[in-house]
Amino acid sequence: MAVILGISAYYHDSAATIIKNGKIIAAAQEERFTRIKGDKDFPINSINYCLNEAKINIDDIDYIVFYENNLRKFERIIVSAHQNIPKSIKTFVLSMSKWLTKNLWLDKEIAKKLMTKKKIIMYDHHMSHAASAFYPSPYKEAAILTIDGVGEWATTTYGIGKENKINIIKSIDFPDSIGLLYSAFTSYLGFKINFDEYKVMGLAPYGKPKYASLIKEKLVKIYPDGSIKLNMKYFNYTKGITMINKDFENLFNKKTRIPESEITEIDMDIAASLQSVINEILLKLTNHIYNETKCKNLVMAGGVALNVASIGYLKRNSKFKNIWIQPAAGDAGGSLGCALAYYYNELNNKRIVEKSDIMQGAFLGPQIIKNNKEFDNYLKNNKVNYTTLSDESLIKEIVKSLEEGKIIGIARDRMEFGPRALGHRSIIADPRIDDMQKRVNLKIKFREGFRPFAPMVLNDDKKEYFDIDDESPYMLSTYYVTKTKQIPLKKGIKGLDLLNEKKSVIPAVTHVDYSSRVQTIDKERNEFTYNLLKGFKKKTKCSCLLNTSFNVRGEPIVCTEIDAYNCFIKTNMDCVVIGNRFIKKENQDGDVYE
Amino acid sequence: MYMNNKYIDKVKTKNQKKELISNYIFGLFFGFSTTLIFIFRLLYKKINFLSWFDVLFILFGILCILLATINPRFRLLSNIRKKVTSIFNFIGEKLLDVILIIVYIIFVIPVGLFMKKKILKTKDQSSNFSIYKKSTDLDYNKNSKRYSILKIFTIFSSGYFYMIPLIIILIIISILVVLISSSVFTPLIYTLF
Repeated sequence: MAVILGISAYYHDSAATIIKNGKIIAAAQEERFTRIKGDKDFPINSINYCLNEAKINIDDIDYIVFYENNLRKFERIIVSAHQNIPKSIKTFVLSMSKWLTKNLWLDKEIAKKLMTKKKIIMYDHHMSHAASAFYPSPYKEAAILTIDGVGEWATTTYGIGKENKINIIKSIDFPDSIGLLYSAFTSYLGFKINFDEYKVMGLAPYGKPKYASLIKEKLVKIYPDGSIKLNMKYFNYTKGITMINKDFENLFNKKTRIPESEITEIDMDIAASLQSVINEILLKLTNHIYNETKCKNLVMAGGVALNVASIGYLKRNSKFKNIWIQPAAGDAGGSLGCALAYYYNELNNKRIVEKSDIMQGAFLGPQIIKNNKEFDNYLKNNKVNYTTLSDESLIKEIVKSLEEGKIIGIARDRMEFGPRALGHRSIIADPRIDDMQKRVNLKIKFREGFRPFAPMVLNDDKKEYFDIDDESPYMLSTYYVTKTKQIPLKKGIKGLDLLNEKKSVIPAVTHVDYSSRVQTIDKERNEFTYNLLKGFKKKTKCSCLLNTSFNVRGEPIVCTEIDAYNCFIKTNMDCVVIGNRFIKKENQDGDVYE
Repeated sequence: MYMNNKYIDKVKTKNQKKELISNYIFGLFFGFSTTLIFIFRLLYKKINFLSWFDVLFILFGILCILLATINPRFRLLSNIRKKVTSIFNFIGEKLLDVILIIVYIIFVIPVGLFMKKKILKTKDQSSNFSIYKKSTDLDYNKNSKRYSILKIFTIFSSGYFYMIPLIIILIIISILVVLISSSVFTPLIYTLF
């Protein structure tokens, strides 16, 4: 028996995972506990939770694995400084003060924080990603592709997983990075790097890929095998503290967009062009990997694997028959990956592959329990009117409220691991209502109006609404709304004006290009949500709901009952379900919201 | 709680002991050295209105000595020590930046120029893939008693041996910085400095 604690921290998205004999016991991101989005500090709260969930002590852990090798990362920083003299002086001084005081001694620091004398094993970043993609997948054999900003040296890697072994064959090394290319454009378009890349992806369908050829000509050379080489003349991240320089801005005849300022047609076209180039790169990459490995399955991880538009494009166009993405594909998933990698790849344990993946629906976080007396007392002390219902009655109430066009927050059972809300920490609404996207965006989430919402649909009925053949339980790919459900757009309308047009019979979850980031719901993974959708279908003949994460802009997804309640009272949400409690805003006294 | 209570108590006792010794050493050495330095200044220079400044420091030094000898647990002494240490830490950070700039000029620039002159291997024009080098080749399986930092030389020997002098300097600086900032003798070191 082996109990392994995997940790990812100190860059962004700290997280911890515990596995026992290859089974995932618990996993959670630190941001959910500290309420600091993308929290990079040592994940003490996540570790506490994981140990509590596993009912063990730190002494009971057999191995503690960290998701990357700090010394190889140090090597990359030193070599990079040498390659970019003399402009690299600023980054050298800034980074060395951090490295010399802390990062070089990371294993000692982690051991000190855990109050343990056990050796901290520093693993390999891309191996951690590869393991997080392969080992939980339902495949005995698969090609593996990992793409992110940068690990130690590698920015993209591919290899093969067979039974319990992973062999990474080749890599693209820093500074040539698909992830950093995306981040460079993210900062150019006025968004926050490492946080807002998905906003650029959501903006892309509003524009046209007018600049795609310019990007390929000047910024990135794409080789026939999908590998890339960036023209560092336009990028600043190897020398300075910004991603791009003036040459980059001059290329598009436009200065970097000021955050929160108006989004112009050029911004949308740049986003569209970038997305088109990324799609081309990934398609060439995957086809090359297919030709090399001859596998019919592909598994992916790394931050770029969260680009659902690209994944959807690959599913429709690549040679692979099956593509599986790790739900926590970013650095948080590195904590899971390094633990699994050590268990299988290094300790050589046998791997039993099941029909379905082992992610347990990605519900690996803290539980909201039904009879939490402490929270009941909290509600009573705050004079909150609520009713406690059985699952069946709760579903009836929720369906009734949805029919009335209400927006409902749901917080129950175990929290999701990864950036997606899959029904346990979600805000749901009726997707058939014309202005629902606007309402939820502006009054609940307080976020940019152009951002689309995603649907959850019964797995049995998915083909009625979407061109989809496979399961999509983790919402990691886009699919098009079926032609029968689409409503043709008026000609001549473009840009953000497309928002006001009804695009399908489920307009709130249909993006301007008719795509949707679909979540299929099945009974095994998500029983309550399955029954809820069944109930909604019975009343309305629609087995589809709008699903967005239970949080407001700038905050992490809610974790506990109190987080859910606080989010409920500071937004215009109509109702909230916390455990089995149903709270309606209209039933409350005015004082509750002061 | 996941932490073993035995460990919590152990760490708590260790931290309390460390605080006590730090206060004692700070009080005595900082107190004595401050007192002596400013007495020396007063004796060997003209007495003028600035002498009040020296007298204040002498009294401050005597206060530290008294607090340390009477009861090192005094909160006032802890607060004085922490304030003085934070001032020296700030100076230390700025000094570290200056040292790193000097290290960059002396080591990084010449080696960087040498690297630029080195003939680059002609890369395959049809691909930018390289053979993947796993970062877990390092010896981590055994419970080695070697300092893990020494593994850095095995990394840098893979083609970057000319950076070894820089690495040695950086490791020495790192060891000094870590020792100084975490040691019980931190106030003594700063006082001597």
